[in-house]
Amino acid sequence: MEKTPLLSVRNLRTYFYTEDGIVKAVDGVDFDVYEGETLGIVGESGSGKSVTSLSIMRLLDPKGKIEEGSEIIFNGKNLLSLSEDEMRRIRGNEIAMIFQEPMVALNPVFTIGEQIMEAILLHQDVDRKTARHMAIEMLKKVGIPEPEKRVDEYPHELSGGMRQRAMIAMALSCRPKLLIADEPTTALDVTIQAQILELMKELQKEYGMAIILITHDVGVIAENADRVVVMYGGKVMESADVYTVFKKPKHPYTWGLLNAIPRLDIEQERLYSIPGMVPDPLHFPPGCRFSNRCEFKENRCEIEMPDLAQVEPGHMVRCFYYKKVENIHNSSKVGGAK
Amino acid sequence: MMNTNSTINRTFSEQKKQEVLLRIDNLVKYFPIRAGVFKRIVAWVKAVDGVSFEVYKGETVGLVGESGCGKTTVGMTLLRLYEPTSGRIIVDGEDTTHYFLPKWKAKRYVEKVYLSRFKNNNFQPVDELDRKYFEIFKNNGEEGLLEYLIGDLEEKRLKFRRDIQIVFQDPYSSLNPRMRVKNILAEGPLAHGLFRKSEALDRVGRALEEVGIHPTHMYRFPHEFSGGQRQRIGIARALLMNPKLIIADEAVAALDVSIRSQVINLMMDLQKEHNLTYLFISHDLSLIKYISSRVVVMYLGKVVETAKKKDLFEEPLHPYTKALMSAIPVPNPEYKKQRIILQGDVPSPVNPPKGCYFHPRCPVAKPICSQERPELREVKPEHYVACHFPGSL
Amino acid sequence: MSEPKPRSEFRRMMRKLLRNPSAILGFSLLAFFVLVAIFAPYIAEPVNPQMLDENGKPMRLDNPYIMPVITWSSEPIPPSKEHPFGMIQGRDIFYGVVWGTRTAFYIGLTVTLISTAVGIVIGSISGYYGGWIDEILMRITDVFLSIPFLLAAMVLTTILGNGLDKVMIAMVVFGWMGAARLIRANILQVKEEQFVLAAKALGIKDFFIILRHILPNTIFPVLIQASMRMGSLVITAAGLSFLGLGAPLGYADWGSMLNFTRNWILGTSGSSMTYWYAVFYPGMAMVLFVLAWNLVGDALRDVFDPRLK
Repeated sequence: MEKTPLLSVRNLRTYFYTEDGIVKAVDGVDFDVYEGETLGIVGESGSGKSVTSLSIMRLLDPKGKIEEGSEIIFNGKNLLSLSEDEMRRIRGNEIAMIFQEPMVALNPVFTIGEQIMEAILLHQDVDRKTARHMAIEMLKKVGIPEPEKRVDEYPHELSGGMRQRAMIAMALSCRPKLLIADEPTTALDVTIQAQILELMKELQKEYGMAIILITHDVGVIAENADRVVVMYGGKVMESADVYTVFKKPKHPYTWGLLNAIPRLDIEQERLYSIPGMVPDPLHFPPGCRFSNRCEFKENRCEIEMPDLAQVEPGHMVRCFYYKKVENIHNSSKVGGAK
Repeated sequence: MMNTNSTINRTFSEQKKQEVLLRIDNLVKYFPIRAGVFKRIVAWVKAVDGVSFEVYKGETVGLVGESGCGKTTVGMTLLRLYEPTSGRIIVDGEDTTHYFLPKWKAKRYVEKVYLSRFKNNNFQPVDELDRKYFEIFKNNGEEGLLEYLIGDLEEKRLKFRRDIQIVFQDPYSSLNPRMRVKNILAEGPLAHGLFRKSEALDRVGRALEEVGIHPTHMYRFPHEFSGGQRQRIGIARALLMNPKLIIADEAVAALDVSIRSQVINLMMDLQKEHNLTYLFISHDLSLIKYISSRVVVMYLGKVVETAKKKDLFEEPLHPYTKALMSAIPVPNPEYKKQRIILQGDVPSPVNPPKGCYFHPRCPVAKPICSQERPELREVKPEHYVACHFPGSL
Repeated sequence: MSEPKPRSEFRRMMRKLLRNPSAILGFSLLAFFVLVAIFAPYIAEPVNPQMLDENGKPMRLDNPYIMPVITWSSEPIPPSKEHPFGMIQGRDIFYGVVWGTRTAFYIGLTVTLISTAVGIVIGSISGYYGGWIDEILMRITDVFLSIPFLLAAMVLTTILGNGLDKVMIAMVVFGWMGAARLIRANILQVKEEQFVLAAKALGIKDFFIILRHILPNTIFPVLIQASMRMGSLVITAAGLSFLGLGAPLGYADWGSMLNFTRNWILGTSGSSMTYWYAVFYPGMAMVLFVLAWNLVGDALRDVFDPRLK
């Protein structure tokens, strides 16, 4: 019994045409998001995770172009074939987005209330009074104290955590089916991050929306995502459900990443270091994009790009020699470093 | 980690008494808020509000807290990039608090903090430093102590600068974009006469090699390096001064995860090789757990808990420490932990709450918490907590 | 391990410059003026054709900047083959425009260099040390800014006496404030950068911190501003000359040449364009000179100002 996904991204390629050359920020990305689930996209800078989300929203800057052959199917419609007008009706209504820095996304000259009302009035057939009422309701829902007062405040009058809550209120005011959260808590302190993530979980349960959670923090992914996509160099390196990715990582990059972070839950003798540098998207190595930093590589890896292949049901890995990782991972204690 | 730890433990047990490299004694730093035409001071930001802790030779102390807790200000103040409002900064058994003041202010400081007490007939020394300075006072008189403490201030300043170095957070702003790496690295040592100009290339090259950068890259400019490499260059710059203590202020926070572990491991290796002492300032408890031997937890300008790493992580006694730990996302979906979600935001350091600064957010606050401010006290051996009800959460 | 690619910043800048047509125009115009200034003695020989030496050749001028009087007709004489820009007050306009280029550079460079240097010193001290030093220096700057420049210059030249050098002094005395304010603002920004803090933590002396760390990172906007001011300074100097405060009568200076035209600027009755050449050529030289510096300044800003990248 196959479920149909809410969002299907197929062969998404987003290139930026810059002075220095073509930056293949996203280069053939596939994934699905099902209703009500949280898909975590994890990657470092330059992995293409943010460009992926902006491509879905079609909010790229003019230098960026989604290449021919890419498909973003949302609810049966290919978003890439919609007109800008049709897209505007989907944006903020069916798909909403929250960003890392709410101060940038919120307009400093309008009150929080006005901005939430704008979204409501744009997409729903209600009068201003009802919209204001709905805005206050939303603020209450996202846990902003004294919403009747806060609704008339400006973004700069709120703290970082409150601003992020206000942005979530704005994003959810039209009950989107899909919420894209791009590093929603990176700028926040951990205790505030915990509040916001908890809030997102509660609202997801209540609204039944799907969430794409984009972050560099594997801890946030582990605690909040149902399924995980690991990106590196504009490509998906591994994808599976969250337990599989964290318990049985099969891609050398995923494995390295999990062993490179200091953790509270286990004792670590020495952190694993992935050698080399985060690749410059103008100069990817030939063959597998991770080949120049991979400790498991063979000659073939430097010539040929492996496909994203299914290695067990629901577990996709882009690596010729994933068995090597399997072996070393099994021999070392789970999560233990070398 | 294990290795570092066991080395430290062995040294400790061998020496019995740990040698204190840095002692911060009731450090206070307030920043004025000015307003109006005459720039009147209307309020004070109490960034650091009475912080005390010690750093022993060869160890790594993790100073942890959320933004606005004053941890960075502690670092900046102890480096004297800010002048402290009050309190003492004692390095290697000498009071250095007055080093960067003009001579007349330095004299006033010594008179106020030491001489006025020493001249009292009933004077009782309260610490090692008192004893030492009182001895000088007895033998050489007032002039003698003044000469000892404020004579040759310039030389003292330079020594202080050599002894304590800093590695900054931002790899993009911490290196002068218009200088070549070799000049960035050689500038300090040349100014201190640590090596001659003719040796500079050789020494800079070796330092670069040590931090894992090819020596021939010394002719490049900072923008030609990646973030991780720049951070390595920043470490090399500190290392070339032969410091006793390195303050690392969020030194890896801006780096990508895969680069972060490289830099952390490098810093730990260098510590072993050069017998360095680190004060590691960070918001990231997992990192602090990995790298430190002792931990100081700050909240709103105050130390709330300090203990050996093991004690702190096995049994956090302050509710804030516990909440902070439970808020750190753990990269293990099967890991079950007690979830404590703190309500509300950190209060403003301009008007901190009455009583315990943490009580408005504390899940186990009792009436006394809003009345009386708990002092930092030793609840278990070497485990200090500022809480009326330690371990109640 | 991939090597970091050494991007040549210089090549990037050049490419950026060459792709900008107005930058090319600016630099070409400037190059043209520089060439004219350098080769002035060949373009307009500094001789007086009215006076012959013992060999029967025209006599060389003692001071080539004083335009020789070659006819006693006071009315402007329209362009001819010998005098392609015409003549005014008995002097060759072509000669004046060519040698005036040198005067323009002389005024512009001297005043800009000195006033910018003064501004940099004052602004650096003010910005780096802050506190009451900053307060005092900035209030002084405000006082200087509040005096209308033309008035101040006129008063100063009345005290010091007429002459090009006096005008230049006035322009320096009342022209450093912009640079001072700009560099102060930039220093306030750069002062908080971590590399400056790092230098302090290394125990580097204040003087070297300013010289090696702060100025190199703040000076470009000031240089850009200075290059833009080059042009406008020449206009100001010309304005003062036009008012009779600047260069002496007959000096090869675009402003003084316009001063000559005061009586002829309206033409004759019924045809206002009769003496167009008297105004047009020196005026055109001035406009192009200002334009060149503005375009160059714009181009430099595009290249150096990271905020516009």
